[in-house]
Formats: sequence, structure tokens, C-alpha cells
Amino acid sequence: MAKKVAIQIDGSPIEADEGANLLQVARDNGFDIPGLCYHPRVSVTGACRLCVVKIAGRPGVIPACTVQVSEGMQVTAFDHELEELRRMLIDLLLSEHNCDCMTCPSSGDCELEDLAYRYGLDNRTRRFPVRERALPEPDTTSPVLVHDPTKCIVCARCIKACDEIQGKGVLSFANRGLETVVVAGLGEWGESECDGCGECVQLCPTGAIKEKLPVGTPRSWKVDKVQTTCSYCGVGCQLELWVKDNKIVKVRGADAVPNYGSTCVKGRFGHTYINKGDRLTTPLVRRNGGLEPATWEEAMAVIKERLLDIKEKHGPDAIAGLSSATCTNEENYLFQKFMRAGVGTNNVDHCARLCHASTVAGLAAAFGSGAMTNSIAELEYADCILVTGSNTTETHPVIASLIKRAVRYHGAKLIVVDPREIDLVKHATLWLRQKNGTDVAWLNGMMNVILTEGLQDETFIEERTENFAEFRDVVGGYTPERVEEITTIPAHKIREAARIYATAETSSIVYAMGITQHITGTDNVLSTANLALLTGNVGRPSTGVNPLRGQNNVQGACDVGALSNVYPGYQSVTDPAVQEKFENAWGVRLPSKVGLTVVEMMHAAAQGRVRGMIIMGENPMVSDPNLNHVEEALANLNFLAVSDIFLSETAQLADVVLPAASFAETEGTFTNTERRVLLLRKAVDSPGAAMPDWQIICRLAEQFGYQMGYENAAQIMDEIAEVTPIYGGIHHHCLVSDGLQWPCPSDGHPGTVYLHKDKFSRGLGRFHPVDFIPAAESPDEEYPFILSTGRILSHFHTGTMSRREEALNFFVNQGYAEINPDDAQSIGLVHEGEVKLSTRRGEIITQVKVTDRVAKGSVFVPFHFAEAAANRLTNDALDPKAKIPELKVAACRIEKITT
Amino acid sequence: MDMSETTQRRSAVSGLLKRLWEAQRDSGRHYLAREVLREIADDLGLGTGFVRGVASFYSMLSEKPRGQHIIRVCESPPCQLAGAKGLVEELSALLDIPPGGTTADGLFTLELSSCLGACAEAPAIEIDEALYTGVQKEQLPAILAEVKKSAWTGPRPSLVDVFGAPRRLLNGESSSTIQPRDRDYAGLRYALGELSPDDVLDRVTESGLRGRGGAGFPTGRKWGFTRGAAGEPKYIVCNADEGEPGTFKDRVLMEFTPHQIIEGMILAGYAVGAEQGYIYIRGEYAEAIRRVNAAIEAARTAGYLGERILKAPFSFDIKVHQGAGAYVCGEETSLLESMEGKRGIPRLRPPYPATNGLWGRPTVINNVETLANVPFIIREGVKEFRRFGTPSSPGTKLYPLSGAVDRPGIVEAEMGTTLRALIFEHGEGMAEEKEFQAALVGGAAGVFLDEDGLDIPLEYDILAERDAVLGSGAVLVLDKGCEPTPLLEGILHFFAHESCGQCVPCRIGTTRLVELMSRLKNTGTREDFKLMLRIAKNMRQTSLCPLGQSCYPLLKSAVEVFKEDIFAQQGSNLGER
Repeated sequence: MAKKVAIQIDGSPIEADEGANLLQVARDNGFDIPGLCYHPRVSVTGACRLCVVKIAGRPGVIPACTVQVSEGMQVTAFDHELEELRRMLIDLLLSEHNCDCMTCPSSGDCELEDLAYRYGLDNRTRRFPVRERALPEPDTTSPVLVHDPTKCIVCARCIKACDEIQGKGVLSFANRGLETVVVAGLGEWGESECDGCGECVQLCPTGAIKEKLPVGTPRSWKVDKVQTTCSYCGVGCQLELWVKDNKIVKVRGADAVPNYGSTCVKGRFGHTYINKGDRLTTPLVRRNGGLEPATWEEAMAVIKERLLDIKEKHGPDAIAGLSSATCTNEENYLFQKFMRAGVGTNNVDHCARLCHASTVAGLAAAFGSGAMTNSIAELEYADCILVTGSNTTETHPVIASLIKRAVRYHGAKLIVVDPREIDLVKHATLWLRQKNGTDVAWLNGMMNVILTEGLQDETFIEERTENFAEFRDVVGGYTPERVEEITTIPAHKIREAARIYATAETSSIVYAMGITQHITGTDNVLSTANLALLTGNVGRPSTGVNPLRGQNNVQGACDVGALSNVYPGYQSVTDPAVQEKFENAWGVRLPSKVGLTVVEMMHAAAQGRVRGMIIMGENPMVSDPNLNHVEEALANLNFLAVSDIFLSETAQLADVVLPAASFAETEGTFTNTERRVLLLRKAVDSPGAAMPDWQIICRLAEQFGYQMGYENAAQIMDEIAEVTPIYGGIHHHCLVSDGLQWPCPSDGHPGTVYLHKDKFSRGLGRFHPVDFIPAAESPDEEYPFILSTGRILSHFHTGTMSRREEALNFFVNQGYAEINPDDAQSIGLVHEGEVKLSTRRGEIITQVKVTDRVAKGSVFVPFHFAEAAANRLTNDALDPKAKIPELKVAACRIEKITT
Repeated sequence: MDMSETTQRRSAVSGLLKRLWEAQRDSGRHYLAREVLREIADDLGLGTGFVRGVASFYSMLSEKPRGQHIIRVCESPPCQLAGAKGLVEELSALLDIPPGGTTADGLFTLELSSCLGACAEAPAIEIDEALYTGVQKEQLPAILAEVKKSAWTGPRPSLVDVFGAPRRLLNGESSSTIQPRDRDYAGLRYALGELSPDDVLDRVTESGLRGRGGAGFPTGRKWGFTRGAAGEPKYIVCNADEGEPGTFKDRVLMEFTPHQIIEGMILAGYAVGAEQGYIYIRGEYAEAIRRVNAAIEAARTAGYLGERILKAPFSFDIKVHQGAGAYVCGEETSLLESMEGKRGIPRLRPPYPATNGLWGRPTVINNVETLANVPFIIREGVKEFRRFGTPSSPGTKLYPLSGAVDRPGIVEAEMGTTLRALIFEHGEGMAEEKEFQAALVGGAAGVFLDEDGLDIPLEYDILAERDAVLGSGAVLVLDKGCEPTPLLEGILHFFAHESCGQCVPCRIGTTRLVELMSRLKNTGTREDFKLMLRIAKNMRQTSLCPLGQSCYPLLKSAVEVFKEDIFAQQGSNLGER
């Protein structure tokens, strides 16, 4: 806590933190000192000079933004002289400004306009006419924004937003003096390194950098502004939707936890899909070989007839349901409740199985809770960050910006362990390039070094952990030299990484699917947990094991029980006491057999054991491994019902399609990757007959004779709180400002910022001895390359939303395969030419991207593109514990296409 | 927010300006193509925007292809008074291009320079790196022909006249000695043999030496701050970015007696505990750069630079950093930014360079002349140093004397010499026996003094009492025939051209002043001049660095000195509306 000091502003006594920014202190206390270049999220620029004040004992006038408050400071914020200085400075600014406020999209939302108004600087009172000059044309080459230098006040906020907040440094001033102009890259925005995050738009105080919107888009005062949670990744960015006439006209970052105004290109510019004409607006029923529009009643009647028939003839376990990581907690809760209580089966799962099932299994075994131990904001203050299997810059962009800030401004050491030369490598102290699928080996190697060099935290091991001896025996065999043979990481680098990680005051592990999507996914996760336990890096701020969750609500969907083996709150379906509790709560008998997981459902469908499926908002026809098999499985079903907002690749195979509401059309909550339950607020009405999934599920339940009479999402959350201990104190009305982080066991509980303080959820942290097991497939003569798949910045998951965005398609509009230049040369491939990739499961034709981001012998394919679907190639071999498929390693062949 | 940067990025950025110079040189057309900028950005791991931002900041770097030979005509006030405008017109006609243009055959580019530092030999032009002084219009065809023949002569020294008394910094030599002379490094030998760093610091403090760059801050105190500051390593930076129009003393020191400067830097390093020094020399001073580099090499060979100097447990070395054309980099924090490879824009202060300088480390930044005084103080003693000058401004001063005097040049005289003595004794009176009207003292950032000011001792405190500044000590003498308005317009244009553009009052104010001044010349009114003073006063109060703050004293003194003459220009409305 900073020391408090007493100062005076214009005679009023004020208490402030010593060293705090004087301008901020003044503004916080109601002194509206003007200023245009200051922004609390970037370093002080001190260029506009509008915030000049007088300070007793100091000569002249001083910009308040450049002053740190100290005891006894006496400040004059307003007097005639200061106001005249400010008036002239604004006058000077206006003389260089294209005062086209009538047609400026920023009007009503422009800080310069506000000041001109406040100081009464109209055409008659201004001393300087606008300088006559040929106005340069705006730069419209960016797909997302327009840069109009005639409205720029050279405040540097955009440059600092890009550099300091986002860590990208695309923007700069060019030229000097009055010719000073903001440039992106070498000049044209569209040709620059800009990835379209729009942080510059967010911070621009005038109309110089604006969203690229149609002429006449409603301006600030004409719209309703609705704060809600982003529908893309698991960061849970708070967005401010600008709504007019039931349409979202623009999106800004909301100044709230966890993103404080930042977004990525998808969050800010990727939400027009909601307004697209191909939204589903009516139920569809398969008749005469095609999907035809129908009423809700007709659709429900078909579902009832077909599914009840299957249930009667083959039992409830012949029906399976896929819940959705893109739907709300309330919807996921209802879906699993419907499957369990309404249908009578535990065959409910969702795509978390494909991304973090191994996290849930591994961290629950080691710590007792299968989620990110610490919070996003803590990352910025970690002394060491170990990022592995996460291309954070592209998959969790806002978190990546925090990691970069940790390195640049707080001296953190960043260790990246990744087979690809991802963007974070540029910021890393150390990069370890492991062979795909050898994570247990290098993790054991690091721990071997730590033990050999005595860098472990003995006290922590002694007091807080168990099973250390057995673990120690296994790790002993993983000398850096042996690990080098397995992983190809040089032994000295393993030593160096171990030393950095173990000796830092706070070390945080960040990982994602590069760790989890392996047949050894659970082992990998256990190894990261071992590393944290060994060095006492759990249960303190800025430490921990931090799996980054991929989808907006994949954390929540798991939390509320959309998994085949657990009820809400990770309560086991095989525990009789738990079963009894839920039977009492839900008023029906419940099945006690663990249900089928995602991939198992597909196998069962192919074999005829599962005959009917209900899929809510998922698209396994693109997202699941071994798509050819998935396609066969779904075709083999007797009945498939899908609810979605678009006619997805999966919906096209359905017998009944139900039109759902998008995230902006419904209420509820998402739980982000840091366990924070965040409110979703309704901004617009659904098109046509589409309705929120929770209402759809209530209707479905009715067909099965199970009544679900909920009036709103808040009511559902109250029920979740009743049956889910970790959500015990979570209700919609508690989430209005910052949400709440679970565990939040009771009403009034403040939530939990980081887990396992003083005590692990399971009591003691448990070491698990883990041995290295090779990937299911190794390259051989027939399939000599290692294929790995993943996400990219400008698209999301199966592309249902992002590929409908023109702006996102500008950046990337088709699938591709990253291939190392040496390999490209030996196979005879050219950059941007076509290539055939094949594995034992399928083949695709896609575009070549020659890049040394991938190692020789490796190939990377993003999985968003149905027409060149990476998952036709991937391996559905499963981790035996978590049932997660090995999406990250497949043996693959690359062939030149000869025409 | 803590915004310190990591060392990784630092080293990449710091090499940028040098890379840009080299790339421009290698281009054959004196420019930096977009592709070249991209290549440099990739090599150094920097953003392309950052690289372009730096490349476009400095006037000696170009993003457009230029001619094989670059002609720069000096448009500083002394050259203006000596007919620079005529040279520009003549060259434009001969080459058939406007200023900024390149001839169709790609041979010549014609540019203007804010000051070439040859004010006593005005008017001056620079072709490639060779300086031509006292150029008459009639000589131009021959000069061009010579250049066309590729009669490359290399950098040329200033032919300036040096006189005055007493002579301490420039006593005797009229040409450079690259090899150290007997008296060079005597102070260093003595210090390393007999004195502790504290002794050196004490002596400099006791000497009362004050910064010769303009502000007159006590050098010993400055060193003391750095010596006492936390943080390693510490740096000594010699500010040789002499861009103040009318000023050419540092150039002469560097060309004539570079070892004095080097010795002064080594002594500064010894006193404050620094092992690395940098000399930031403005890009226009090709000959000074060449000579200083040669002198550093000679000093290193002689054992005065490098590891364990003279076998003492003290190491020190010096690197030359070449500027690229930006007056604002003479401001010490801009200079640091520029040295770090960034756009040369001033930093917010505090913190000050003494504690948070180069790369945020404690840094002594001294002007060339300041450092050149240090060897004398150590060698000859404090008492001897203080024998001349005033008690509060001891020592001698180099006064660059230009304009309408009979003998322009560098006058070395004791601190506090009067304008009258400079002009009528050392300068041997007015040129062509014209009548004295006024003098611009301190360069463009200085003030005008008229007859009433002739007997004011030119030193820091007395001038400050009169709202004037000593600045660089430059004295530009104006005779009665000189029209003040074009001169003022030229100076204001200079400020607008050199404004870095960071702060609002200077970025926009300087241009508004130029426009109003030009209006004053034609259709302006007294009200316009009042508005000019109001703008300038605002700039004085609110500008971030001295550049924008300088216009007010200049304009205020102009109206005091020239009175009605400012308004009484041909074609003006005499301001009676």
C-alpha cells in the first residue's frame, strides 16, 4: 500500500497515494483538468500541455500528468491564466484540425470536440483559422479501421496503445514538426504488421483512427451501449456493444476486468455475424430428403416421436448429447440436467473433451481442482513465465499482451517451450524447441536438473505435498543428456530453463492444447503440476499452473457438469451420495453409469450403440478428430437434432435443426479461463423464431415428460448455486461489476483470486511419477512428417462465426499448411502453391505456406477450414485417463500436386 | 507504470541510426528505400513503423532517391545576411530545380541546411561533405563543374579566423593536430598520478566552470549528481550537436584541438566513475567527425584511451556518434533519445540525465567547450583558471562572432567581455564602417541587444537579469541597413522547421508565428504582432523543451530593439488599422 499524503487542489484538501499521477488524482477528485495525450493505460507523454497547473514553490506552469504527488503539495488547477493558456492551446490544435464534426463518426465521442465546446471555441472566437492546405486522403487500406491524419492531434496514444499495451509496436510517428504523422509499418495500414486488434481505435481521442464502418453508422448518442462478454476465446473480454434498432453497429472494449478495454481483432471486429442473413430463423425438419422450414411445434413433435422411440426400443443410453462450450453456464447446466434427468443417460459431453479433459483430470489429481490456479492479471507480475503448448499471441491475444508486458516492463524471464517459433519467442529469454509429443521428457528433465542442483523448495515439499519419493525415483532417470536424445532440446538449455524457473521468486506455468491434446495429455499436465509443486510455485500470487481455456465458456460448461463423468461442480456420477443429492434436487432417479465421451460417442454411433444424438451449438463435423470417421458415425445415426445459429457442417446432416439465439441475444453467464463467472447481457432480439438454447432445452425436456419451468437465466443460476458447491454464492446480481471467481462457496463470499493458498483443494498436493511414452504415431517411411494442428488469430474454432466476417477473412481466408523451407525445397513445393497432405485417416488439399516457424520434418495446419479440414487427418487415439484425442501429433505425408 | 526497457531491445535500437546512415551511403542515391527499411527492421527485430519513424525524423536522411551529389545551402541568419538567398536562386537556375529537387540526370540534389557552422565565412554551402565558404554567386558554375568532374576533395576544414585574448582553449594553433601535443593529456597524467576522482571533482567544482552549451549550469555540481547516482554503468556524453545558428565554436574546437575534448571526457569519466564516453557530433560536421575519430585513434595508440589508462586502475574509451540533421538533438534529452537510436525528441524532466540518462543510467552530458576547459583546470589549477572571467562565471569563453564586423571569427576572451569589446576591439569594428544597429546574442534562441546593451558583460547572470541569455555566446552583428523582419521570419522559419513536433505549443505555435510574421511583412497589423507575442508567451510557458520556449525572448527583444521598424517594412500597412 502506498503511503497516503495530504495535498491541496484549489484550496480543497485531498488525500492521495504518494507518487500518484497528479492529473489522475485531480480528476478522481472531481477537478476536470483538460488533457488529451494522457491516458491511464499508457505511459505519460506530456505533449498536449493542456493539463498545466501551478504548484506552490515551483516556477512556471507544469503539466499535471508529469507530476507525482508529494506531501503538502499545493496545486492551482484553475485560474484565469491557466484557462487562457489552455484555451490558446486548444485553439492552436483546432487550427490544424479538420473540424468536420458534422460528418465525423467520432462526433459525440471526441475529446477535442468536448474541449472546443467547453471553451466556447467557435468560428468567431477562435483566433486562428484552420490552416489552408490540401487535405491528405484517409488511409482505408486496413480491413478494420480508417486512419484520417487530418483529425490527428499527435497525442501518441495510438502508438503507445499498440506498443505498450499490446506489445506490437506497429505504429510510429513519421516526419517531424507540423508534418508529424502516425504511420503503420512503412506507410499503408493494410500492408503493415497490424493484426487489427483496434487498441489504437480504443485509445484515439478524436476521429483520426476509427472503425471502418458504413457512412451514416449511428453515433455515440444515438445508440444503447450494452456491456457483455465476448463470444470468442476463454479470456472473457468485456465488450461494449453499440446497439441501434436491434442491430449491433459497433463493438468497443469495455473498461473492465479482465481486459480493461483491450480486445483482439475477433472481439472488436468479429461480431457482425450476428446480423448475417444466413442466420437460422426457423426450425428445419428433414422432409423429402431436404431440410424444410417448420414450426417449433412440428419440430418438437418430430424430436419427441423419434427420440422416444429410440429410448423405448434401445434404452436411454442409445441417446447421446453434445453440450456446448459456446453456450452459457445456464444452458449447459440445463442440457446436462435434461440428458440426465429427462433422457436418463450420462451420455453428455462437449468439446472440452477435445481440449482440456486432461487438464481437468490431471490438475484434479494433483491439486484437487482442474482449472487455472491463478488469475490473468497476476501474470504481468510473475518473475518467470513458462509458456508451453500455447501460441498465446494468436489464441489468447489479450493474455499474450500481459505476458509481453511482464517481460518488457517488469523484467520477467519468459521461457517458451514449443515446437513452433511462435510470436512469443521474440520476447523470450529462452526458447526450447521440443520434438512434438515429448513434453513429459523435457519436464522431467527440468525437474531432474532442479533436484540435481538442489533448487527444489524443501519446505514446501515437506509441508504441502505427498508422494515425493516415488516421483523423485522416476525423475532421476531423466538426465538432460537423455532428454536431449528424446526431445532434441540441447541439454544446456534444459539446465538453463530449470535454473530460471526454479530460482525466480514467482514462476507461473501457462499452457494450452500443446500440452493437453496427446495420448499422454494427462501425464503432461501432471508433469507441469509436479514442476510447480517441486519449486513451491503454487498457492501464491503470480505462480501456479495455468491452463488457458480455448472457448468462451469451456470452463463453465465443465463446471456445470456437461461432462460424462461428473455432475455440476465436478461431483462424480459414480458417487452414490452425490447421486442421491441430485436425485433429490431434480426429483427423478438418475443413472449411475459413467457416460460416453465425445470421441466414444462417435465410435458408439458408428457401431450402432448410440442411435440418436442431440447436439447443441457444436460442430463435430469440423472440430473432432478423424472427420471421415465422424461423418460415417453421424450418418449411421437414426436421428440427429442440432441447435445452432447457422446451418453448420454438422447441422446439414441433421434430421431436425433448431434455430438458436446468439450470445448477444440471450442472458446468462460465461466462466472465463481464470474461473471468473461473467455476465452476458442481452443486446438485441433473436431473428425470426430463433430462441435462446435454455428455452429450447426446456421445450425438449417437456417432450420427455420432464418439466423445466424456468422464467429466466438468473433463476437457473440460483439452482446451479444450490447444487454446485464451488458456485454456491454465485447469483446474477452479484456479477454486475467484476463477476466472481470460483470457488465462491456461499452468498457474500468474495470469490477466489488464486487457488490452493495454504491448503490444496485435495488437502496435500500430490506428486505423480510420470514416465515418457512416445506419441501414438511416429513418422515412418510412408508418413514421414509430424503433423500438428491448432488455431490462428483471425479465425476461431470451426469458423462458423469468424469465417462470416469479411474483416477477418481479409487477414486469412483459406486453410494452409506451414512447411519448413528445407522440406518445401526437397519436395518441390512453392509458397502459396497447392499441396496434398495425407495420414492414415484421410487427406486434404491445401495451400503451402513456406516458413521456418515450423521445424524441419514438421507441418502445421490450422483447423478452422472445413474445405481443407485438418481433422480429416488427425488421430483419434485417446488418452486413456481423460479420453482426449491426440490432435497434436499425427504421422503425415506431404505430396506435391502434379497437374 | 514502470517503463524501463529490456537490454535485448536496447542494443537493437541503438544500432539503428548507424545502420540507416550506412544503408543510405550504400544506396548510391543517398536514400532509404522502403525495402531497405524493411530489411533493417527485420535484421534488428524492430517494427517497420519504428524504423520509418526514425528514418523520417532526421533531415539528412531521405526516403526519396536523391542525386549523386547533394548541395546544401546554409540558410542560417548569418548566411542569409550574406546573401544565401541569392545562392539558392542561382543554383536553382543553374540546375533547373527548386530547393528539395533533384536534377533530371540524377547528378545533383539541392537542399537547404539550417546551419553549416561556417558563420564567420558566410555564405556557406556544402557539397557532399566538402564545405565551401564565402561563396559568391559567380563562383557557382565553376564549383559545379569541379564537382561534376568528380574532383572529390573529401571533408574540408573550416578556415575560420581565431583571435582574442586571453587564449587558453585555442592558443596558437590554426590548424588541427591529430597527434597529441605536449600540453595534451598533461592534466590527465597529473590526475591519474596524483589525484583521486574526488580531487578532480572538487577541482572542477571549485573552478566554478559552468556549462558552455548555454544554460550555464555548474559543471562540478552536474558531475557530483552523476557520481552520487545509483546505477551502473555511468556514461560521459559530449554534446557536439552544435546546431545553434550563428554558432561554430565547437566545430573549431573539434577540428583544431580534439585532444582537449577527449582529455576533458576522460577526466570527467575518472571523476564520476564512468568507463564509456560518447561524442555526439552533428551529421553536418563531416570534417570534425573525421578529425575527432582520428584523434581518438591516436589517443588510444598513445595509451590515453582503453584499458588501464597510463597503467592506472582506470579504463575509459570513447565512441563517436553521428547525428543526422536535427537541431532539437542539441537539447540533451533529445540527444540521448537519438543516441539510443530513436526519434530525437526531448524527454520529460525530471528525471534528469545526471541520474537517468543514456539507457536510464547516470550520465554526464557536457558541451564540447565545457569539456575542453577541464584539462586546463586540472593542469594549471583552479586559481589560474579563475584568474579571468567574473567570480560567478570564471574562465574564458569562445564567442563566435559573425555578421557585420570587420573581423568575424572565433574570439576567445574572458567571460564577461562586453559586446562593445567584442565588436570594436576584437572584431576590429563594423564592416565597411557601417553604423551598429543591434546584435543577436546567443544564436537563434538568443535575444537582440541594441546600443544600450553594448556595455553589458556577456556572462550568464548579468544577461539573465536582463531577460537575455548567453546561450552559445554567438554574436551576430547587424548594421543599420539590416531589415529585421526578413531576419525574424528566417529565424521563426528555422524554429518551425526544427520543431520536433511532440508538444502542441511548439509544433503548431512555431508555424502560426511564421505565418503571422509573413503577414506582418505584407498586410499585417499591430494586432498580429500582439497575437504573435501572446502565442510566443504561451509557448514560453508551456513548451516541453527550450526550442519552443525561445521564441518569446527573441520576439520581445526584437520589438524592444527594432520598435517601429518591425512594422515599417515595404508593403506593410504600417500597422495602423
